[in-house]
Amino acid sequence: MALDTIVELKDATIFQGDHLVLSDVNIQLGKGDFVYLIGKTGSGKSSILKTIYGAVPLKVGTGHVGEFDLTNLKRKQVPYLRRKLGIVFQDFELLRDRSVNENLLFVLKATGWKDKKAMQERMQEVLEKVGLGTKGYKMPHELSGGEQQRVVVARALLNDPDLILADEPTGNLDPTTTEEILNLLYSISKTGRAVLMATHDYVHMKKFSSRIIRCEDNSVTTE
Amino acid sequence: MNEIDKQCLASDIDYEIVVMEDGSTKHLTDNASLSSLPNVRYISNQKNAGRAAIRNILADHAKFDRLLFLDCDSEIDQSYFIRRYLETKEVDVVYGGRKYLPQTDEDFLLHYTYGIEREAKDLNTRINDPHLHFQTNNFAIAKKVFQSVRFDESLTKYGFEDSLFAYDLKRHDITVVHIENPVVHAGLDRTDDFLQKSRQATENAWLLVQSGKIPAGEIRFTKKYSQIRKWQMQRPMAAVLSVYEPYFIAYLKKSEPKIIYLDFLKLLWSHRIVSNTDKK
Repeated sequence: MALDTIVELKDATIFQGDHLVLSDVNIQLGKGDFVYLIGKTGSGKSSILKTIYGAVPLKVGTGHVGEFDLTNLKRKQVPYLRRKLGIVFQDFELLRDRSVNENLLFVLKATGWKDKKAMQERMQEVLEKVGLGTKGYKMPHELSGGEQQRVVVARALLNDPDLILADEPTGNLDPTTTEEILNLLYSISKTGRAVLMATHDYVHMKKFSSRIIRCEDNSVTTE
Repeated sequence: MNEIDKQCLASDIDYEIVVMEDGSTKHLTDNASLSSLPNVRYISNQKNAGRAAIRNILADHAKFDRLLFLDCDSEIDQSYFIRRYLETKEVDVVYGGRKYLPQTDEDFLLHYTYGIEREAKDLNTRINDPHLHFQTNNFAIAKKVFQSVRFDESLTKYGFEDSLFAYDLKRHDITVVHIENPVVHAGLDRTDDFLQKSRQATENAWLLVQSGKIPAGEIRFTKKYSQIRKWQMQRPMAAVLSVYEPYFIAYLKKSEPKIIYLDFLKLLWSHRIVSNTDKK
Protein backbone atom coordinates (compact mmCIF):
# COMPACT_ATOMS: atom_id res chain seq x y z
CA MET A 1 0.00 0.00 0.00
CA ALA A 2 1.19 3.49 -0.85
CA LEU A 3 2.07 5.72 2.06
CA ASP A 4 -1.02 7.88 1.85
CA THR A 5 -3.52 5.11 1.10
CA ILE A 6 -6.40 5.00 3.55
CA VAL A 7 -8.63 2.34 2.02
CA GLU A 8 -7.99 -0.21 -0.67
CA LEU A 9 -10.00 -3.05 -2.21
CA LYS A 10 -8.09 -5.23 -4.65
CA ASP A 11 -9.64 -7.77 -7.04
CA ALA A 12 -12.46 -8.06 -4.55
CA THR A 13 -15.71 -9.87 -5.11
CA ILE A 14 -18.57 -8.61 -3.04
CA PHE A 15 -21.46 -10.81 -1.97
CA GLN A 16 -24.63 -9.90 -0.18
CA GLY A 17 -25.47 -13.21 1.48
CA ASP A 18 -24.84 -15.81 -1.24
CA HIS A 19 -25.73 -13.41 -3.99
CA LEU A 20 -22.83 -12.00 -6.02
CA VAL A 21 -23.18 -8.22 -6.24
CA LEU A 22 -19.89 -7.00 -7.71
CA SER A 23 -16.76 -8.66 -9.01
CA ASP A 24 -13.24 -7.42 -9.79
CA VAL A 25 -13.61 -4.45 -7.50
CA ASN A 26 -10.50 -2.27 -7.39
CA ILE A 27 -10.80 0.87 -5.33
CA GLN A 28 -8.15 2.98 -3.70
CA LEU A 29 -8.63 6.14 -1.66
CA GLY A 30 -5.85 8.23 -0.19
CA LYS A 31 -5.51 11.34 1.93
CA GLY A 32 -7.31 14.30 0.39
CA ASP A 33 -9.55 12.16 -1.84
CA PHE A 34 -13.20 13.03 -2.22
CA VAL A 35 -14.84 10.30 -4.24
CA TYR A 36 -18.41 9.79 -5.42
CA LEU A 37 -19.93 6.35 -5.52
CA ILE A 38 -22.76 6.20 -8.01
CA GLY A 39 -25.05 3.59 -9.53
CA LYS A 40 -28.69 2.57 -9.56
CA THR A 41 -30.42 1.27 -6.46
CA GLY A 42 -29.29 -2.31 -5.94
CA SER A 43 -26.14 -1.87 -8.01
CA GLY A 44 -23.92 -2.52 -5.00
CA LYS A 45 -23.06 0.93 -3.63
CA SER A 46 -24.24 0.08 -0.14
CA SER A 47 -22.53 -3.32 -0.30
CA ILE A 48 -19.21 -1.59 -0.95
CA LEU A 49 -19.75 0.72 2.00
CA LYS A 50 -20.78 -2.23 4.18
CA THR A 51 -17.69 -4.17 3.18
CA ILE A 52 -15.53 -1.23 4.17
CA TYR A 53 -17.15 -0.85 7.58
CA GLY A 54 -17.08 -4.54 8.27
CA ALA A 55 -20.79 -5.36 8.00
CA VAL A 56 -20.28 -7.59 4.96
CA PRO A 57 -17.29 -9.96 5.14
CA LEU A 58 -14.76 -9.87 2.32
CA LYS A 59 -14.21 -13.42 1.10
CA VAL A 60 -12.58 -13.02 -2.31
CA GLY A 61 -9.77 -10.58 -2.99
CA THR A 62 -7.96 -8.34 -0.53
CA GLY A 63 -8.89 -5.18 1.30
CA HIS A 64 -7.48 -2.79 3.87
CA VAL A 65 -8.73 0.12 5.89
CA GLY A 66 -5.67 1.67 7.50
CA GLU A 67 -3.93 -1.24 9.21
CA PHE A 68 -7.09 -3.38 9.30
CA ASP A 69 -7.10 -6.35 6.97
CA LEU A 70 -10.69 -6.81 5.78
CA THR A 71 -10.23 -10.43 4.67
CA ASN A 72 -9.24 -11.68 8.10
CA LEU A 73 -11.35 -9.31 10.08
CA LYS A 74 -12.40 -10.82 13.42
CA ARG A 75 -15.74 -9.94 14.92
CA LYS A 76 -13.95 -8.45 17.89
CA GLN A 77 -12.01 -6.09 15.66
CA VAL A 78 -15.07 -4.53 14.03
CA PRO A 79 -15.64 -1.90 16.76
CA TYR A 80 -11.99 -0.85 16.47
CA LEU A 81 -12.29 -0.62 12.69
CA ARG A 82 -15.39 1.55 13.04
CA ARG A 83 -13.55 3.93 15.30
CA LYS A 84 -11.31 4.65 12.33
CA LEU A 85 -14.34 5.60 10.28
CA GLY A 86 -16.82 8.40 10.38
CA ILE A 87 -20.25 7.53 9.12
CA VAL A 88 -22.79 10.00 7.73
CA PHE A 89 -25.95 8.30 6.59
CA GLN A 90 -29.21 9.87 5.59
CA ASP A 91 -31.10 7.65 8.01
CA PHE A 92 -28.40 7.59 10.67
CA GLU A 93 -30.47 9.75 12.92
CA LEU A 94 -29.69 11.69 16.02
CA LEU A 95 -31.22 10.50 19.27
CA ARG A 96 -34.29 12.71 19.61
CA ASP A 97 -34.60 12.56 23.38
CA ARG A 98 -31.31 14.29 24.18
CA SER A 99 -29.35 17.39 23.32
CA VAL A 100 -26.65 17.70 20.68
CA ASN A 101 -23.96 17.47 23.35
CA GLU A 102 -25.53 14.37 24.87
CA ASN A 103 -25.71 12.78 21.42
CA LEU A 104 -21.99 13.33 21.01
CA LEU A 105 -21.24 12.22 24.56
CA PHE A 106 -23.12 9.00 23.93
CA VAL A 107 -20.83 8.16 21.02
CA LEU A 108 -17.68 9.11 22.91
CA LYS A 109 -18.60 6.89 25.86
CA ALA A 110 -19.52 4.05 23.52
CA THR A 111 -16.13 4.28 21.87
CA GLY A 112 -14.18 4.10 25.09
CA TRP A 113 -13.55 7.71 26.14
CA LYS A 114 -13.26 8.19 29.90
CA ASP A 115 -11.73 11.57 30.71
CA LYS A 116 -14.61 14.05 31.20
CA LYS A 117 -12.59 17.14 30.38
CA ALA A 118 -11.13 15.60 27.24
CA MET A 119 -14.63 14.60 26.14
CA GLN A 120 -15.98 18.14 26.66
CA GLU A 121 -13.09 19.58 24.69
CA ARG A 122 -13.49 17.13 21.85
CA MET A 123 -17.23 17.80 21.59
CA GLN A 124 -16.66 21.53 21.43
CA GLU A 125 -13.91 21.07 18.87
CA VAL A 126 -16.02 19.04 16.44
CA LEU A 127 -19.03 21.32 16.83
CA GLU A 128 -16.85 24.30 15.97
CA LYS A 129 -15.55 22.46 12.95
CA VAL A 130 -19.07 22.27 11.55
CA GLY A 131 -20.02 25.81 12.58
CA LEU A 132 -22.26 24.89 15.54
CA GLY A 133 -19.94 25.91 18.36
CA THR A 134 -22.75 27.61 20.30
CA LYS A 135 -25.55 25.10 19.73
CA GLY A 136 -24.44 22.09 21.72
CA TYR A 137 -27.17 22.56 24.33
CA LYS A 138 -29.99 22.44 21.77
CA MET A 139 -32.33 19.53 21.19
CA PRO A 140 -32.31 18.02 17.68
CA HIS A 141 -35.85 19.25 16.94
CA GLU A 142 -34.75 22.82 17.63
CA LEU A 143 -32.29 22.63 14.73
CA SER A 144 -32.91 22.96 10.99
CA GLY A 145 -32.39 19.95 8.71
CA GLY A 146 -29.03 21.31 7.60
CA GLU A 147 -27.92 21.88 11.18
CA GLN A 148 -28.96 18.36 12.16
CA GLN A 149 -26.91 16.97 9.32
CA ARG A 150 -23.98 19.12 10.50
CA VAL A 151 -24.30 17.49 13.91
CA VAL A 152 -24.17 14.11 12.19
CA VAL A 153 -20.97 15.24 10.46
CA ALA A 154 -19.59 16.46 13.80
CA ARG A 155 -20.44 13.11 15.37
CA ALA A 156 -18.61 11.36 12.53
CA LEU A 157 -15.53 13.44 13.28
CA LEU A 158 -15.40 12.65 17.01
CA ASN A 159 -12.76 9.93 16.79
CA ASP A 160 -10.69 11.83 14.25
CA PRO A 161 -11.29 9.27 11.48
CA ASP A 162 -9.13 8.90 8.38
CA LEU A 163 -12.11 7.89 6.30
CA ILE A 164 -15.64 9.23 6.16
CA LEU A 165 -18.35 7.14 4.55
CA ALA A 166 -21.43 9.02 3.48
CA ASP A 167 -24.58 7.45 2.07
CA GLU A 168 -26.87 10.01 0.40
CA PRO A 169 -25.98 12.55 3.11
CA THR A 170 -27.95 15.35 1.45
CA GLY A 171 -30.96 13.31 0.36
CA ASN A 172 -33.43 15.27 2.49
CA LEU A 173 -31.97 18.75 2.17
CA ASP A 174 -32.81 21.77 0.02
CA PRO A 175 -30.28 22.83 -2.66
CA THR A 176 -28.62 25.63 -0.65
CA THR A 177 -28.16 23.47 2.42
CA THR A 178 -26.99 20.62 0.22
CA GLU A 179 -24.23 22.84 -1.10
CA GLU A 180 -23.17 23.77 2.43
CA ILE A 181 -23.00 20.16 3.59
CA LEU A 182 -21.17 19.09 0.44
CA ASN A 183 -18.66 21.89 0.81
CA LEU A 184 -18.19 20.89 4.44
CA LEU A 185 -17.50 17.24 3.54
CA TYR A 186 -15.33 18.31 0.63
CA SER A 187 -13.20 20.58 2.80
CA ILE A 188 -12.92 17.85 5.46
CA SER A 189 -11.37 15.58 2.84
CA LYS A 190 -8.75 18.26 2.28
CA THR A 191 -7.50 17.95 5.85
CA GLY A 192 -5.66 14.70 5.21
CA ARG A 193 -8.72 12.44 5.20
CA ALA A 194 -10.69 10.59 2.55
CA VAL A 195 -14.42 10.87 1.93
CA LEU A 196 -16.39 8.24 0.02
CA MET A 197 -19.91 9.33 -0.74
CA ALA A 198 -22.76 7.42 -2.34
CA THR A 199 -25.12 9.78 -4.13
CA HIS A 200 -27.68 10.30 -6.89
CA ASP A 201 -27.33 14.05 -7.00
CA TYR A 202 -25.71 14.72 -10.37
CA VAL A 203 -26.27 18.47 -10.26
CA HIS A 204 -24.16 18.89 -7.17
CA MET A 205 -21.62 16.34 -8.33
CA LYS A 206 -20.90 18.69 -11.19
CA LYS A 207 -20.49 21.65 -8.87
CA PHE A 208 -18.13 19.80 -6.55
CA SER A 209 -16.54 17.88 -9.33
CA SER A 210 -14.29 15.02 -8.23
CA ARG A 211 -13.40 11.39 -8.92
CA ILE A 212 -16.36 9.08 -9.58
CA ILE A 213 -16.70 5.35 -8.97
CA ARG A 214 -19.61 3.84 -10.85
CA CYS A 215 -21.32 0.53 -10.01
CA GLU A 216 -23.02 -1.03 -13.01
CA ASP A 217 -23.70 -4.56 -14.32
CA ASN A 218 -21.89 -6.24 -11.44
CA SER A 219 -18.69 -4.31 -11.97
CA VAL A 220 -17.04 -1.11 -10.91
CA THR A 221 -15.50 1.56 -13.14
CA THR A 222 -13.61 4.66 -12.16
CA GLU A 223 -13.95 7.81 -14.22
CA MET B 1 8.08 32.74 -3.24
CA ASN B 2 10.86 30.35 -2.38
CA GLU B 3 8.43 28.34 -0.25
CA ILE B 4 5.97 28.00 -3.14
CA ASP B 5 8.72 27.02 -5.54
CA LYS B 6 9.99 24.44 -3.05
CA GLN B 7 6.51 22.93 -2.55
CA CYS B 8 5.80 22.82 -6.29
CA LEU B 9 9.11 21.11 -6.95
CA ALA B 10 8.40 18.55 -4.24
CA SER B 11 4.95 17.80 -5.70
CA ASP B 12 6.46 16.67 -8.96
CA ILE B 13 4.13 18.65 -11.20
CA ASP B 14 4.59 20.79 -14.29
CA TYR B 15 4.35 24.32 -13.05
CA GLU B 16 5.45 27.87 -13.59
CA ILE B 17 5.36 30.92 -11.36
CA VAL B 18 4.61 34.18 -13.11
CA VAL B 19 5.46 37.29 -11.13
CA MET B 20 4.44 40.65 -12.41
CA GLU B 21 5.47 44.08 -11.29
CA ASP B 22 2.64 46.58 -11.44
CA GLY B 23 4.45 49.82 -12.11
CA SER B 24 5.92 49.83 -8.63
CA THR B 25 9.63 50.48 -8.27
CA LYS B 26 9.93 49.59 -4.61
CA HIS B 27 11.28 46.05 -4.87
CA LEU B 28 12.67 45.96 -8.39
CA THR B 29 16.18 44.78 -7.53
CA ASP B 30 15.00 42.19 -4.99
CA ASN B 31 12.46 40.81 -7.39
CA ALA B 32 14.78 40.72 -10.39
CA SER B 33 16.73 37.99 -8.64
CA LEU B 34 13.62 35.78 -8.85
CA SER B 35 14.30 35.19 -12.52
CA SER B 36 17.21 33.01 -11.53
CA LEU B 37 14.75 30.31 -10.40
CA PRO B 38 14.17 27.97 -13.34
CA ASN B 39 10.36 27.89 -13.19
CA VAL B 40 9.82 31.56 -12.51
CA ARG B 41 8.95 34.13 -15.10
CA TYR B 42 9.40 37.69 -13.96
CA ILE B 43 7.66 40.43 -15.89
CA SER B 44 8.31 44.00 -15.02
CA ASN B 45 5.37 46.03 -16.22
CA GLN B 46 6.26 49.68 -16.58
CA LYS B 47 2.86 51.21 -16.17
CA ASN B 48 0.37 50.62 -13.42
CA ALA B 49 -2.39 48.67 -15.12
CA GLY B 50 -4.67 48.43 -12.09
CA ARG B 51 -5.53 45.45 -9.95
CA ALA B 52 -8.13 44.04 -12.34
CA ALA B 53 -6.15 44.34 -15.58
CA ILE B 54 -2.96 42.93 -14.12
CA ARG B 55 -4.70 39.73 -13.09
CA ASN B 56 -6.04 39.32 -16.61
CA ILE B 57 -2.57 39.89 -18.04
CA LEU B 58 -1.12 37.32 -15.64
CA ALA B 59 -3.71 34.77 -16.75
CA ASP B 60 -2.94 35.49 -20.42
CA HIS B 61 0.73 34.85 -19.76
CA ALA B 62 0.10 31.54 -17.96
CA LYS B 63 0.76 28.47 -20.07
CA PHE B 64 -0.94 25.73 -18.02
CA ASP B 65 -4.66 25.10 -17.61
CA ARG B 66 -4.95 25.61 -13.87
CA LEU B 67 -4.22 28.95 -12.20
CA LEU B 68 -3.42 29.83 -8.60
CA PHE B 69 -3.66 33.52 -7.80
CA LEU B 70 -1.73 34.87 -4.81
CA ASP B 71 -1.33 38.45 -3.70
CA CYS B 72 2.23 39.64 -3.31
CA ASP B 73 1.77 40.35 0.41
CA SER B 74 0.85 36.73 1.19
CA GLU B 75 3.04 34.46 3.26
CA ILE B 76 2.79 30.68 3.21
CA ASP B 77 3.20 29.04 6.61
CA GLN B 78 1.99 25.49 5.87
CA SER B 79 4.09 22.86 4.17
CA TYR B 80 1.04 21.28 2.51
CA PHE B 81 -0.24 24.51 0.97
CA ILE B 82 0.35 23.52 -2.67
CA ARG B 83 -0.74 19.96 -2.02
CA ARG B 84 -4.14 21.12 -0.74
CA TYR B 85 -4.71 22.99 -3.97
CA LEU B 86 -3.59 20.00 -6.05
CA GLU B 87 -6.23 17.91 -4.29
CA THR B 88 -8.90 20.32 -5.52
CA LYS B 89 -7.87 20.46 -9.15
CA GLU B 90 -11.17 19.15 -10.47
CA VAL B 91 -13.43 21.91 -9.20
CA ASP B 92 -13.81 25.19 -11.07
CA VAL B 93 -12.93 27.70 -8.36
CA VAL B 94 -11.45 27.16 -4.90
CA TYR B 95 -10.83 29.76 -2.22
CA GLY B 96 -8.35 28.95 0.55
CA GLY B 97 -8.87 31.89 2.90
CA ARG B 98 -6.58 34.25 4.75
CA LYS B 99 -5.35 34.78 8.25
CA TYR B 100 -3.48 37.36 10.26
CA LEU B 101 -0.63 37.03 12.70
CA PRO B 102 -1.10 38.85 16.02
CA GLN B 103 -0.03 42.49 15.78
CA THR B 104 1.38 44.61 18.53
CA ASP B 105 2.49 47.63 16.52
CA GLU B 106 -0.23 50.25 17.09
CA ASP B 107 0.24 51.71 13.64
CA PHE B 108 -1.22 48.61 12.03
CA LEU B 109 -3.92 47.78 14.57
CA LEU B 110 -6.85 49.13 12.59
CA HIS B 111 -6.08 47.09 9.49
CA TYR B 112 -5.36 44.06 11.65
CA THR B 113 -8.62 44.36 13.60
CA TYR B 114 -10.57 44.89 10.41
CA GLY B 115 -8.82 41.87 8.93
CA ILE B 116 -9.65 39.46 11.72
CA GLU B 117 -13.21 40.71 12.15
CA ARG B 118 -14.27 41.15 8.55
CA GLU B 119 -11.92 39.40 6.16
CA ALA B 120 -10.49 36.28 7.78
CA LYS B 121 -13.76 34.37 8.00
CA ASP B 122 -13.75 30.78 9.18
CA LEU B 123 -14.70 28.00 6.82
CA ASN B 124 -18.27 27.59 8.05
CA THR B 125 -19.08 31.26 7.67
CA ARG B 126 -17.62 31.15 4.19
CA ILE B 127 -19.58 28.13 3.02
CA ASN B 128 -22.83 29.71 4.21
CA ASP B 129 -22.45 32.35 1.53
CA PRO B 130 -19.68 31.17 -0.80
CA HIS B 131 -19.73 34.08 -3.24
CA LEU B 132 -19.98 36.84 -0.65
CA HIS B 133 -16.93 35.47 1.18
CA PHE B 134 -14.80 34.91 -1.89
CA GLN B 135 -11.68 37.06 -2.11
CA THR B 136 -9.01 37.18 -4.76
CA ASN B 137 -5.95 37.03 -2.49
CA ASN B 138 -5.62 33.24 -2.58
CA PHE B 139 -7.68 31.21 -5.05
CA ALA B 140 -7.30 28.51 -7.69
CA ILE B 141 -9.32 28.43 -10.87
CA ALA B 142 -9.50 26.48 -14.13
CA LYS B 143 -8.01 28.70 -16.81
CA LYS B 144 -10.94 28.28 -19.15
CA VAL B 145 -13.35 29.28 -16.39
CA PHE B 146 -11.23 32.33 -15.63
CA GLN B 147 -11.16 33.33 -19.28
CA SER B 148 -14.93 33.06 -19.51
CA VAL B 149 -15.36 35.56 -16.66
CA ARG B 150 -12.17 37.67 -16.31
CA PHE B 151 -11.75 40.73 -14.13
CA ASP B 152 -13.64 43.79 -15.28
CA GLU B 153 -10.91 46.13 -16.51
CA SER B 154 -13.03 49.23 -16.34
CA LEU B 155 -12.03 49.08 -12.69
CA THR B 156 -8.76 50.89 -12.37
CA LYS B 157 -9.17 52.36 -8.91
CA TYR B 158 -8.69 50.55 -5.63
CA GLY B 159 -11.36 48.40 -4.08
CA PHE B 160 -14.01 45.75 -4.60
CA GLU B 161 -12.43 43.91 -7.53
CA ASP B 162 -13.08 40.84 -5.38
CA SER B 163 -16.77 41.52 -4.96
CA LEU B 164 -17.28 42.22 -8.64
CA PHE B 165 -15.41 39.09 -9.71
CA ALA B 166 -17.35 36.99 -7.18
CA TYR B 167 -20.62 38.49 -8.37
CA ASP B 168 -19.71 37.72 -11.99
CA LEU B 169 -18.96 34.11 -11.01
CA LYS B 170 -22.36 33.95 -9.35
CA ARG B 171 -24.06 35.34 -12.45
CA HIS B 172 -22.37 32.66 -14.54
CA ASP B 173 -23.58 30.05 -12.03
CA ILE B 174 -20.02 29.04 -11.18
CA THR B 175 -19.73 27.49 -7.74
CA VAL B 176 -17.03 28.73 -5.39
CA VAL B 177 -15.73 25.88 -3.26
CA HIS B 178 -14.14 26.82 0.07
CA ILE B 179 -11.35 24.96 1.81
CA GLU B 180 -9.14 25.61 4.80
CA ASN B 181 -5.86 26.65 3.21
CA PRO B 182 -5.18 30.20 4.34
CA VAL B 183 -2.23 32.42 3.55
CA VAL B 184 -0.96 34.93 6.07
CA HIS B 185 -1.87 38.46 5.03
CA ALA B 186 1.39 40.21 5.79
CA GLY B 187 1.16 43.55 4.00
CA LEU B 188 -0.84 45.55 6.50
CA ASP B 189 -1.33 49.27 5.96
CA ARG B 190 -0.70 51.95 8.52
CA THR B 191 -3.90 53.38 9.96
CA ASP B 192 -3.78 56.64 7.96
CA ASP B 193 -3.19 54.77 4.71
CA PHE B 194 -5.85 52.22 5.59
CA LEU B 195 -8.43 54.95 6.19
CA GLN B 196 -7.43 56.60 2.93
CA LYS B 197 -7.81 53.30 1.05
CA SER B 198 -11.14 52.58 2.72
CA ARG B 199 -12.37 55.95 1.54
CA GLN B 200 -11.19 55.22 -2.00
CA ALA B 201 -12.76 51.77 -1.90
CA THR B 202 -16.06 53.32 -0.79
CA GLU B 203 -16.01 55.54 -3.87
CA ASN B 204 -15.21 52.61 -6.09
CA ALA B 205 -18.03 50.57 -4.60
CA TRP B 206 -20.53 53.30 -5.44
CA LEU B 207 -19.09 53.58 -8.93
CA LEU B 208 -19.81 49.88 -9.38
CA VAL B 209 -23.30 50.13 -7.92
CA GLN B 210 -24.25 53.24 -9.85
CA SER B 211 -22.99 51.86 -13.14
CA GLY B 212 -25.13 48.78 -12.56
CA LYS B 213 -22.21 46.34 -12.46
CA ILE B 214 -23.15 45.05 -9.05
CA PRO B 215 -26.39 45.32 -7.05
CA ALA B 216 -26.20 47.45 -3.88
CA GLY B 217 -27.20 44.38 -1.87
CA GLU B 218 -23.89 42.63 -2.60
CA ILE B 219 -21.76 45.04 -0.54
CA ARG B 220 -22.33 45.62 3.14
CA PHE B 221 -22.43 49.40 3.36
CA THR B 222 -24.04 50.11 -0.04
CA LYS B 223 -26.81 47.79 1.09
CA LYS B 224 -27.17 49.57 4.44
CA TYR B 225 -27.09 53.03 2.90
CA SER B 226 -29.68 52.08 0.30
CA GLN B 227 -32.01 50.88 3.04
CA ILE B 228 -31.58 54.09 5.01
CA ARG B 229 -32.23 56.07 1.88
CA LYS B 230 -35.39 54.13 1.22
CA TRP B 231 -36.67 55.32 4.60
CA GLN B 232 -35.56 58.85 3.68
CA MET B 233 -33.35 58.94 6.74
CA GLN B 234 -30.07 59.63 4.98
CA ARG B 235 -29.91 63.38 5.72
CA PRO B 236 -30.51 63.20 9.46
CA MET B 237 -28.13 60.26 9.62
CA ALA B 238 -25.40 62.19 7.82
CA ALA B 239 -25.97 65.24 10.00
CA VAL B 240 -25.47 63.22 13.16
CA LEU B 241 -22.53 61.24 11.81
CA SER B 242 -20.66 64.30 10.57
CA VAL B 243 -20.76 65.78 14.08
CA TYR B 244 -19.03 62.65 15.37
CA GLU B 245 -16.71 62.19 12.40
CA PRO B 246 -13.54 63.52 14.07
CA TYR B 247 -14.25 61.35 17.12
CA PHE B 248 -14.70 58.22 15.01
CA ILE B 249 -11.38 58.86 13.33
CA ALA B 250 -9.68 59.48 16.66
CA TYR B 251 -11.15 56.28 18.12
CA LEU B 252 -10.04 54.24 15.13
CA LYS B 253 -6.48 55.33 15.79
CA LYS B 254 -6.57 54.11 19.39
CA SER B 255 -5.30 50.79 20.67
CA GLU B 256 -8.61 48.92 20.54
CA PRO B 257 -10.30 50.21 17.40
CA LYS B 258 -13.98 49.35 17.01
CA ILE B 259 -14.80 48.51 13.42
CA ILE B 260 -18.33 49.82 13.81
CA TYR B 261 -16.89 53.36 13.79
CA LEU B 262 -15.43 52.58 10.39
CA ASP B 263 -18.89 51.38 9.32
CA PHE B 264 -20.31 54.75 10.39
CA LEU B 265 -17.63 56.55 8.42
CA LYS B 266 -18.41 54.50 5.35
CA LEU B 267 -22.09 55.44 5.64
CA LEU B 268 -21.15 59.09 5.93
CA TRP B 269 -18.77 58.88 2.97
CA SER B 270 -21.48 57.05 1.04
CA HIS B 271 -23.86 59.91 1.70
CA ARG B 272 -21.36 62.47 0.43
CA ILE B 273 -20.59 60.42 -2.67
CA VAL B 274 -24.21 59.73 -3.52
CA SER B 275 -25.43 63.28 -2.93
CA ASN B 276 -22.55 64.55 -5.04
CA THR B 277 -23.48 62.37 -7.98
CA ASP B 278 -27.14 63.32 -7.51
CA LYS B 279 -26.23 66.97 -7.95
CA LYS B 280 -24.47 66.19 -11.21
